[in-house]
Amino acid sequence: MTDVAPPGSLLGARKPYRSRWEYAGWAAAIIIVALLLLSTVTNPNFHWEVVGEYLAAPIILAGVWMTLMLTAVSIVLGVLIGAVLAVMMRSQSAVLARLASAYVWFFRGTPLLVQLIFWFNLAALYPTIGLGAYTVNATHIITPFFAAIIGLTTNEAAYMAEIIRGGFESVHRGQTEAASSLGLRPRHVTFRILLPQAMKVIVPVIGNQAIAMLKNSSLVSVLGVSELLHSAEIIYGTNYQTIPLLIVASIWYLAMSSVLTVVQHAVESAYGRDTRSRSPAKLKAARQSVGDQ
Amino acid sequence: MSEVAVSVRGLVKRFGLHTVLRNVDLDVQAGHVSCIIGPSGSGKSTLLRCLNSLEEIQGGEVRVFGELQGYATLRNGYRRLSPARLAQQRERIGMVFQSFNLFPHMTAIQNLTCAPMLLGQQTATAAGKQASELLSMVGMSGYEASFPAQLSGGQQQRVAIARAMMMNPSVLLFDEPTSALDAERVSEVLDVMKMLARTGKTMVVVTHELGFAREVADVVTFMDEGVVVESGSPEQVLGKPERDRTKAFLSKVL
Repeated sequence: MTDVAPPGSLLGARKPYRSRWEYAGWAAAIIIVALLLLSTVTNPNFHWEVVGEYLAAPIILAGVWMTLMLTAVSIVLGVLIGAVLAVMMRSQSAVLARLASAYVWFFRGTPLLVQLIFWFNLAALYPTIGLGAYTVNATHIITPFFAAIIGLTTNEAAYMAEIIRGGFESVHRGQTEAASSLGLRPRHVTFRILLPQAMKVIVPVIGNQAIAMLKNSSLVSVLGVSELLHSAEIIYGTNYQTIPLLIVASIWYLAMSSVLTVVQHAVESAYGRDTRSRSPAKLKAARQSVGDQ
Repeated sequence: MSEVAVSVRGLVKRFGLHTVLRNVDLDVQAGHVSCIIGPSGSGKSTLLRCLNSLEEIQGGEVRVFGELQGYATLRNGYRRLSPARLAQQRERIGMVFQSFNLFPHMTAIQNLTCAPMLLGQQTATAAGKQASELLSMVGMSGYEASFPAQLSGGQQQRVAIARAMMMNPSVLLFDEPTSALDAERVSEVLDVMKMLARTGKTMVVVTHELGFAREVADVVTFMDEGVVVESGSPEQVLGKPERDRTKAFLSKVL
């Protein structure tokens, strides 16, 4: 009867299982990271003093602001246009469905960089835009900034369309049938029954897209729009401190995507994936916290 | 009581090359409960889904109180109705599903009130009042603010029945309403259905609950392989079946 536990130990704390290799892994990881850090700090070629000098330079901050704006505008417009495209793709009308699919096919099938340069050079194809008396010179309208917004937005809309459509498809077919059997019209079924449920799938992915857009917006530097990367380029174009300025840009990209990641997780846990298992009180609180943001 | 509520003539339904319903006829008198029984894959659920145009049909006609369902007649055939017209027809036909299909993002009472309010048929107060009455009728008062995920299967199905009743349908369709329930939850749903039957609601019930059919049904229809094999009173179809296929089915189930 050696298996009988000594009295009093039945309520003792339970420790989780840990492999010996877990501790060895920690040791190895700490050593490797420490060596990497040491080399970056001691290697004079990193020019950390230059990094420090430009980290908060006005031109860099203006670039950060421009990057944030490009990201915000492209994501918001991308979601709106993408939602319209998604509804078109699900439409009973074959014309609308085909048009939307063709749009997605084209904009997902060509590189974003090519699209951006294409928009920038639109004036070469159509020197004037408009009808009759309302004709304007294309080069005046298609500024680098405008081309950047159009390029990022039209591309993002194609991805958003697929994401939103996927969200709708994720809702069980029985929901549509139940709503239809009550006599709800197609627009009610789409917006009141399916959309709120699809959002659980869509919202986390939009967060992902926003983080991707933050970095993809650096592509518009080729158009000469002074977002973060281009601002860094302008500086290292004159002082040839390429690496330190790329580090400056990277620090800002990392900081911004970290903040977005935190926001994304907050939104996700507030009203993301598990409304099904929530109590009404918690759900109400979650709705309020989302509304406050 | 001799008015015909549901009349199906020569109904043909195909999924691709697979014919699910072959020339089905069915009549349901107003105020009657009609139970459709049969083995899985016999087409009974599909037949029910044709009654409120959830399925397109390839032949025949479905009429509810005389009105052709799902199609308009042309000189040389039929044309499918617009989604809005289909929705209008479905307002008069309630349906209860095997998997309940309550809207998970709405509370029980919102599940009931959403249709009449979105369709502009009732004010919020009127809809709320009627919804409370219906919830208490199915024994679900006190659960108004509960979300479907917080309810048991039997409770969800009772809310779903109340939701179908909100539109004051002239016909109620039940598609195996107790098949997804735990055994001890079946009776609470059947009890609600029996009560509805007593109030004279016209009901078409696809079910495996032969006890319910025997007790409540005015007409029992046995289907197999897409055809109506036998139809008549419960005593006749369940007690003294004439066809061998019916006998074979009943001997397996009973």
